[in-house]
Amino acid sequence: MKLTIIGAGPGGYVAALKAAQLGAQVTVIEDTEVGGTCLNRGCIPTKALVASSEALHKAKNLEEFGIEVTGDINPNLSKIMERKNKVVSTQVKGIRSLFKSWGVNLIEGRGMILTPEKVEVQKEDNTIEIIETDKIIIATGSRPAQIPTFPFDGEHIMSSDDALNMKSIPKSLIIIGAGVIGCEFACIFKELGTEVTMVEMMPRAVSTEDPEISEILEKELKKKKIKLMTAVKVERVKGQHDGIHVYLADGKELVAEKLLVSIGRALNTENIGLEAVGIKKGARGEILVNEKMETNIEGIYAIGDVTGGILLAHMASKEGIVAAYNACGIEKKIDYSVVPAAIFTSPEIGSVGLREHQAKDKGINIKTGHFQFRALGKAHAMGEIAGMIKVVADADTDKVLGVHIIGPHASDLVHEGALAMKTGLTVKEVADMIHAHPTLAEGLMEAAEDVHGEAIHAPKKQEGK
Amino acid sequence: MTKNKNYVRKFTLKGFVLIKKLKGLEREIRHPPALKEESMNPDNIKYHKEHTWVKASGKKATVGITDYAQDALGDIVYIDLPEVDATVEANTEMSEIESTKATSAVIAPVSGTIIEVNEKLADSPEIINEDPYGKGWIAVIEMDNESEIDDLMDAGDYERYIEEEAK
Repeated sequence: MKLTIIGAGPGGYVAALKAAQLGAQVTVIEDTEVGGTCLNRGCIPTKALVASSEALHKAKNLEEFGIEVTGDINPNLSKIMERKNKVVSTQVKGIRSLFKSWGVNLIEGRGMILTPEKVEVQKEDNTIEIIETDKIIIATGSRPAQIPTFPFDGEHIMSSDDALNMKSIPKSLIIIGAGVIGCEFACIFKELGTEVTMVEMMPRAVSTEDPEISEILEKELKKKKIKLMTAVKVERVKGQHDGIHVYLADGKELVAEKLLVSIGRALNTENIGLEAVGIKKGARGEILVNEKMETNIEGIYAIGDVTGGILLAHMASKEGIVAAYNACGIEKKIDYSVVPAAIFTSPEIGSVGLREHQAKDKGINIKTGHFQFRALGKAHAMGEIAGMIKVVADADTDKVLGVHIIGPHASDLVHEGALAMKTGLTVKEVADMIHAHPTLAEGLMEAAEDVHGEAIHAPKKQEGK
Repeated sequence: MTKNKNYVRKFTLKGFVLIKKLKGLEREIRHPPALKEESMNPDNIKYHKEHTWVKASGKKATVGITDYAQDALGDIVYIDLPEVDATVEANTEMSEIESTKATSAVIAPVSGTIIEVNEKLADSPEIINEDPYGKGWIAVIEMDNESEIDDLMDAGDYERYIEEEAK
């Protein structure tokens, strides 16, 4: 069976390797670099920058740990970027060598579907190659969305792609959009010494998270002296000699050296031949697929961002695996019931399952439990006491419906909650399990206990609170 | 900044000080030194059951947290100060305070408009521990209704109240 995959991001490359494992003859077409947005312009490079900014933060606060420093501590952006690039290139090489190992054929160029059995590749040298195939997986991903009235110029009006390749640390930065990407960059640049102002149209930062998580993040941003304006629209933007001017709907005017626009992502559905074969798209331009990740055209699958779901690398990867199985004739359906997500702000956010208001909107009778990291000895020893763990549970069945964490290592800790949900554990069962001391994971046990008002290291719950 | 207070379940100072009771960690309730001085004129300082205090002068009310509350909280590491011009309602959250032990809501003892906040606390919240009735004041509220003061406790009542709470 010949399988052609357009796009080698976290969806496409994982699908390629899975299909190769299942015995397919796989060709992957990629027009930039394997690893896609996630590895080259997203998850991984930003986390490398987060690591540098955290190292800087720790270095600036060494005295707190009883370590004396003589001399200055300064970030060197070009070295930070060099490190980031090295992290990325190591991972890129890793994917390329996996392709070799599993016999996946990588062709560099732009792929376009001609028929369900033919895919054209336009290479950089303008030569064209036609690939004969049995099945196709579309994994073309997304790109930063821009505001038409002030498009990216790569220099002063930046996308997240541009921000990852800055040459110097700006004195001041305005970020439009306080979602995941905006908040991560705000924390990174603030730590590097930039004055950061964020403008968000929604009433709160990271508005897809539980409102309590947003509230704590907003407070932590305030502590860092990152300015955040919520529930306000940007009217227009104008570049002047003294910087970028941003005019808000409430009449306020902001000025900064640079502007980062992080308002969401646009789906890469253009010029890939969808129209030629009649692939159906939804209202937002997303490719419509069934639970086998198959489009309305038999034998053509679509996965990841281009299908318009939650834009997460790990969703794309799982969808890629499902598509690969189905393309190889083994029926498999996607399961979206448990999708943990991580945001690498400072402190980190990890969440899975229903937010409190979502559960209430569904008419579920719920109970919640909370636990603050500052009640844990381990958090104090680490010097990272901000944040909390929240458990949302079904009041009737006691099952875990959601876990929301903001605090140290939240992105790792959330997986205990995810496993509890996947296996249908009750809050009582999570609370009953012995958790090692001294760890941050004890916090999840206590939050689970708190659902029933039985957390050991928390004050007694008051009526009506 | 828009807050979503409706969603939030948080312990108030009153809730937090109960820990001491639970853990048997009560210490002898001490008379705060600042309070002793004020006891010359006890009508001027009033106490709310959520462990905040008010010093009124005409329509202006200076508010803070009590010595008992700061002691229960332990080392204060941050206070989310209210914003000037914000309106506050008595018995609702006006600020949030973080210590190394807990995050607690500070409950407004009177209703009105914030006309001044103690900006020094933004960088040095430990002042609240050091001088809760003096330099550790949190905000000045221009009261909507001065008679709200009459509903609050005087020093003697407050002392009996915390003795009762600690039982």
